Amino acid sequence: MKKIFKFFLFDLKRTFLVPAIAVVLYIINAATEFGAMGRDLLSFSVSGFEKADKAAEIYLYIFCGLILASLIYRTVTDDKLFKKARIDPKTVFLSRLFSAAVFCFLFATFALLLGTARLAILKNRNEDMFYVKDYPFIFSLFGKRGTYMLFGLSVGFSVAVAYSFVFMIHQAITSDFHPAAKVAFIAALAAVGVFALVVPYRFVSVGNVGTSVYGAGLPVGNISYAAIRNFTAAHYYQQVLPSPVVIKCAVCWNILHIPALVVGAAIIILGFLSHSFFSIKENADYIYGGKKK
Amino acid sequence: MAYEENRGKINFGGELIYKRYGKKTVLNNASFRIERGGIVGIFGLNGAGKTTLLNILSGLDGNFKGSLLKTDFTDVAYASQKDFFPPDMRIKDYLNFEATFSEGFDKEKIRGKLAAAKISEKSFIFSLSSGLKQYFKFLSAVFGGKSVVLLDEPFSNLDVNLRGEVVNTLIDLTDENRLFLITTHEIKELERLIDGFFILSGGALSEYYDAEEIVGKSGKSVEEFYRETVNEKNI
Repeated sequence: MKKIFKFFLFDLKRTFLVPAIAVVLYIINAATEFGAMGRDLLSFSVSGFEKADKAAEIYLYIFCGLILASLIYRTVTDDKLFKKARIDPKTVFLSRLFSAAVFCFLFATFALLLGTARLAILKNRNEDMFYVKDYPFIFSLFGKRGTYMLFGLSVGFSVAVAYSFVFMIHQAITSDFHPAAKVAFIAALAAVGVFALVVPYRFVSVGNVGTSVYGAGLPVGNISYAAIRNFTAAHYYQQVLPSPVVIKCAVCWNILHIPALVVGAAIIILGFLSHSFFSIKENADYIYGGKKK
Repeated sequence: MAYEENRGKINFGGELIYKRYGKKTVLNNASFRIERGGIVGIFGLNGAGKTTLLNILSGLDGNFKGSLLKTDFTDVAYASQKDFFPPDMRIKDYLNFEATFSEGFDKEKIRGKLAAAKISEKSFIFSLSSGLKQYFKFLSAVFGGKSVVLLDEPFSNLDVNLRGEVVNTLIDLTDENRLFLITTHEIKELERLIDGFFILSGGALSEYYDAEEIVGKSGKSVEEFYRETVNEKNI
């Protein structure tokens, strides 16, 4: 147990190597904004807000991409070392998911504190700037704690689901299975992926979880056309909801939607179990086409 | 076939190891058993399957037919030819990693050897020359605190000084409770160290040859004996 914890700390340290760039991006983002303030560009037009909204969305994609890239990078580079050091791949997989979650939580906390500071400065500078609390990427302690948590959970969960997919593909490719078996597995996995994206919108949600908590009415029901077109419900939400932070969460993974949550969790568990399957020599021998002798 | 000197019990080897890559059979029911500690060589021509055998013996390659005598791989260190270091890892990070996760890993000894070879611990491993990297892998394996140490071509790309260091380190570390199983083409370098050797050819291992016995009886060096055995007898 002590060894597992030590490994988790080691992996957590490695997690920060690549996504640390995300923090730098956030600081640049803030600096640019204050720079604009300095040039007396104190008011945003409506179109300015739309631009900011778009920028925040792109920023979020970059952030998710960086965490995912970090997980994939470390799978490719570190796993050979871990295998040699006899560290159980399941420990590696779980540790990596946990470290990604911890990173998301710390990053969101950082964003919350920085956002609070930014908002405080903006309010201090100009009373009329109070409305910047609606600025999509400012998480602040001034009443946005719920959406901030939602954001952190959504990003973390999305990365975990995406990484589970990547992990399974990596396991399949590096296994000793017959090439045809690998292709069949990856094709099946792709089908599961499409299902995972569609299923939340094929089934009516159990309930509007979180609706009252976050004060934003989340639409539920059969909107699969939107899911297929946009892969997430973000586009749909943007059309009907005014709450930008909720939109950003939906861009990643709608964790307020029970079927989506269940399917996502199933994929993570599948990722955890995949190693057991691929590491069984008898499976490889069987699928390879019988005895090799 | 057993290695019969009065030394510590090791019991290392494999039975009927069979391995193929695609249609090419690399190991064809190779069997051997080493029961005592010491330095043992596995010699063979290029492509004979030496690295494949070590990969299997170290537990890195689990896809083969046959059985191993030692399946507790946590007690086996392996300096492979292939790199396994993350490219962004520094020497000191790797030493800390091994010291945390490998019991008996002697970080201080390695640090001393690195300092003597003027290799900075702050260096990224990928930035080391292939010779220095090979030397670093050698040090990590032999000071790993394991009772079985597998070394795949430990002399490759090393300059004369480091070759001398490798030989001296092996002499210092040899004891009856540890087995050093070494594959190499540099038989001359190993000749004065080894207790015995196997020849890997045609996917199978020869009987165990006792180095002292070979030299005493035939009056030939181990290298000469090996060359004659491989070429003339065509095993």
